[in-house]
Amino acid sequence: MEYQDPPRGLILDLITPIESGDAIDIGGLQRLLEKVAEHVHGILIASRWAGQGNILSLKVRKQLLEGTMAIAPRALPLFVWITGKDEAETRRNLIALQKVTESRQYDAPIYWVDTPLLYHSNRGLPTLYDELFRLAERPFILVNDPQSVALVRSAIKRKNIRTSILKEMATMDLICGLIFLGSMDRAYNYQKAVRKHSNFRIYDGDEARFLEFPSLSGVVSPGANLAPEKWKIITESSLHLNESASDYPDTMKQLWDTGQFLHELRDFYSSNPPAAIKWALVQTGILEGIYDTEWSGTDEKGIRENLIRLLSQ
Amino acid sequence: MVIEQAKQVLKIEAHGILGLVDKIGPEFKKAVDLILKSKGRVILTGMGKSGLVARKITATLNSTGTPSLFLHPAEAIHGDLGMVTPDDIVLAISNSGNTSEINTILPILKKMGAKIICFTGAPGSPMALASDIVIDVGVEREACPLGLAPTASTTAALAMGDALAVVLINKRRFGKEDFRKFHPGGSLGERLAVKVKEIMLTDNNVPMVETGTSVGKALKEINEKKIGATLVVDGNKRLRGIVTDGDLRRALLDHKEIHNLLVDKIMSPSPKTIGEDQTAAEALAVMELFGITHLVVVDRTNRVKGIAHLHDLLGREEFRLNGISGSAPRVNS
Repeated sequence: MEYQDPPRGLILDLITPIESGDAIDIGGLQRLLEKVAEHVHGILIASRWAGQGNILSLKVRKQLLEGTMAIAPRALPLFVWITGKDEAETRRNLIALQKVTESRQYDAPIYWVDTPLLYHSNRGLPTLYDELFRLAERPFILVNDPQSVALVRSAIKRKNIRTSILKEMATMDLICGLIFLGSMDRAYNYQKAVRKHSNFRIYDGDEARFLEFPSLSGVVSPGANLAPEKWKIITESSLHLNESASDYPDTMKQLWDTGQFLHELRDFYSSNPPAAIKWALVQTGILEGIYDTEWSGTDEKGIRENLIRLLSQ
Repeated sequence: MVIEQAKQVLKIEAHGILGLVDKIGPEFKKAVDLILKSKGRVILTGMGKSGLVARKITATLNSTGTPSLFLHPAEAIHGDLGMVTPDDIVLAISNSGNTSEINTILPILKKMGAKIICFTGAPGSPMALASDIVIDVGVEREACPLGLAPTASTTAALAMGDALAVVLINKRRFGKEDFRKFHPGGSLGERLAVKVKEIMLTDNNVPMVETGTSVGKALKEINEKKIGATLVVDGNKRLRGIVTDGDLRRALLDHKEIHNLLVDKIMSPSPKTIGEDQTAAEALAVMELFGITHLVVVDRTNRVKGIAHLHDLLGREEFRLNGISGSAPRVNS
């Protein structure tokens, strides 16, 4: 079976606008989507990173997916995080979220995003995905996130998807990409493993890495919640999405300044992206409810002041 | 930090090129075949850094025997398209495949009849869709922060250009070997290097009559020596003219009876000549330049030493293929 290739470009790692309690702030979600939609090429929802997927209930995940499908100003490819705390919960999430996608017409592709090593070993991964695919016939984007795996798995377990396993899975139609975090050497090996499949995407899951050595599939960016225009400029420049001779004389300087801005911005939210980004979105009026925006930092006040300063530029 | 970053850049570029290895397939072979069969030139085009890569590939192709030239896409729109002929192959380079200047000229080039090959990192791009052959030169990662400049992607395009040039050299070498099977006189390379005196007809094989000879006798000489012409010399074998089949036909139009005319009346007085120490390649270039099939070989005093005929050289197409005919020949007027 053939599926639409995942997009190249800027994938927004959407924060989950969940107010204190267990309900999605639909108004806040709508304002946020209206702000970012024209600048991003896809939206990742309920991720373990900015989306706080590891603490979201299934009810909230369903609300978030349903809300995004209903109110997104334009149909953007959706990347839906399905990983649960174990294999059973992952299957349950998948079935429930599949039902949500079936209940509403959506004109762009939807991909399931999964970090298998959080609940499964490398052995038998292709079989696992054959089974998951039968539950919900949409293609999968894998996540390699050794740091998160290290937090929940035994020290002796592998933290990365084995290159040979990735090579095998890349041959499966239902696996069409990978969000990558990890060392550059591993990035090279993965790239080598999938190079026969020119439409297999390897997105940078690490914004800082993308700003230094951009992957040409794209980046998954929490920062795009705050500065989607600037992230779009850098992503399109890095991926050469719009080559043209009609550059301004100072295009290079503008790109450099934009890149430095994003580096600096990232420095201020990277210690706790969900809390810092939500706090900044509340300050800018995108979110209006009461959010848990406390985060531990050595200089929380300084971080907040700097975020406001940067976002007011 | 500096050392580590520099190493990382080199690793990224190296991996970018290695990534192309598995991408070379039938499309690449089609591109090689298309260029080999073409009677025209390879026209390279690209904007910005891709344009610089295109210029380098142009130079490489030219220096390895594939006539090529660079066409600036913006200049093309303003008139330079006139340099493209239907026999040419266009090789367009754009990593995104979305360069507006290139995508503007491709439909016009197609309409002119030129075949289009593209090097791109986006095989589904507008440029790729407008091309006859798409060669994927995509890399997974750039080495330049913020996308300020294409790095690994341009390196990859450059390397693919080198691959194309080298394959073309080797394919043509193969052609020469094939050619040798049918021409025991030696390989083309050897033939190119020889001097005219080594391949020219000499002594009694040279058709030659003295001034004052009748056309009838000249006709007999032409028939016997079988190269369609005879030289006219003085008593010291100094060249005075040539009588060719064409001269005879023109004489027949002007005179009812030509047998008793003197050759002096109908000969062409200034035949093209060449020195015996010049190369076969130069001789062929002169023949091609003037559209003639033989050259008189003379010494410094214009004394005839022999005659070089096209049939004694290798085929013209083979010479042209190797870019020899473009060199400036020394011609004795």
